[in-house]
Amino acid sequence: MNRYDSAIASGVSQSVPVNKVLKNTYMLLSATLIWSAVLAVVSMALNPSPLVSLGTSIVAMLLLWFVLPRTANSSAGVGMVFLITGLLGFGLGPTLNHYAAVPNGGQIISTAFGGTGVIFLGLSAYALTSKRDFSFMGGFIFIGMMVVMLASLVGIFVQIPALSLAISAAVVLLMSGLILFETSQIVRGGETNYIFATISLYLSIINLFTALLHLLGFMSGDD
Amino acid sequence: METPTWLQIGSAVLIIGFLIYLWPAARHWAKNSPKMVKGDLAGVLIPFGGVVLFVILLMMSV
Repeated sequence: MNRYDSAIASGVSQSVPVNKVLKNTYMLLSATLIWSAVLAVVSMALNPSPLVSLGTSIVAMLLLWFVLPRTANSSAGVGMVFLITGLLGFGLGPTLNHYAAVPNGGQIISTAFGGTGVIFLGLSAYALTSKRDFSFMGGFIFIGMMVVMLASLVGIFVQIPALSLAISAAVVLLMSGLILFETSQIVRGGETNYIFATISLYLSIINLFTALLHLLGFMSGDD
Repeated sequence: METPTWLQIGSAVLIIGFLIYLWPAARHWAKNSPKMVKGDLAGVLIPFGGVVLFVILLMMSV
């Protein structure tokens, strides 16, 4: 069963207190973001080839797909989250080095970093304080992500700057929606596993960051 | 700069992998998402509007 099936199947079951899931999710998310940032800096210093970056992303995807669902209910799941986020953080190195090499690259990276933080904190605060149910957005978000991925697949082979820009803009909106959706799932008891909640929010943040990086790079005339 | 073919193929494999990973969730939520009720649209447009304005502001600042 897909994890989202189990999340909705559990409904509003409060067997695991919501506050505990929320607290554990934010603690693990903070730790993984710091860990990921450290490995991104290490990767920038080592300057690996894009092949290494692609390899770490593929390994992270395989772990996410095959190993995480089997370990998410045990303490091994925490280690797995660190492994996946570490690999994804390390994989960011070549992208960050690309932007760091352009004239105002430092400003682009720091603006994207700060912007991601502000958007995440703002949307989380909105979802937490409004206590709205954003589960009606589920279909829109997941179908939207699939459409964006299909467009990205086309974009790999047919390099059109406008398409690339549209994809980045769509990713910003979809990841914003996913942050609202996932936070509301935690608050309303639909997501009771903090490991899955952490990885979902982490992926939203890292995708938001790379999309902002691309949009800002495009505006400064880099892409 | 021309992207190497191996990088294009590897990226395509990664995207196809994520498409397969997301497919069950997309199918599930497309079928089972609760219907939007009054006030839901406004509740989403406010934060989305804020994000759009903020991103435009960031893009103008670089």
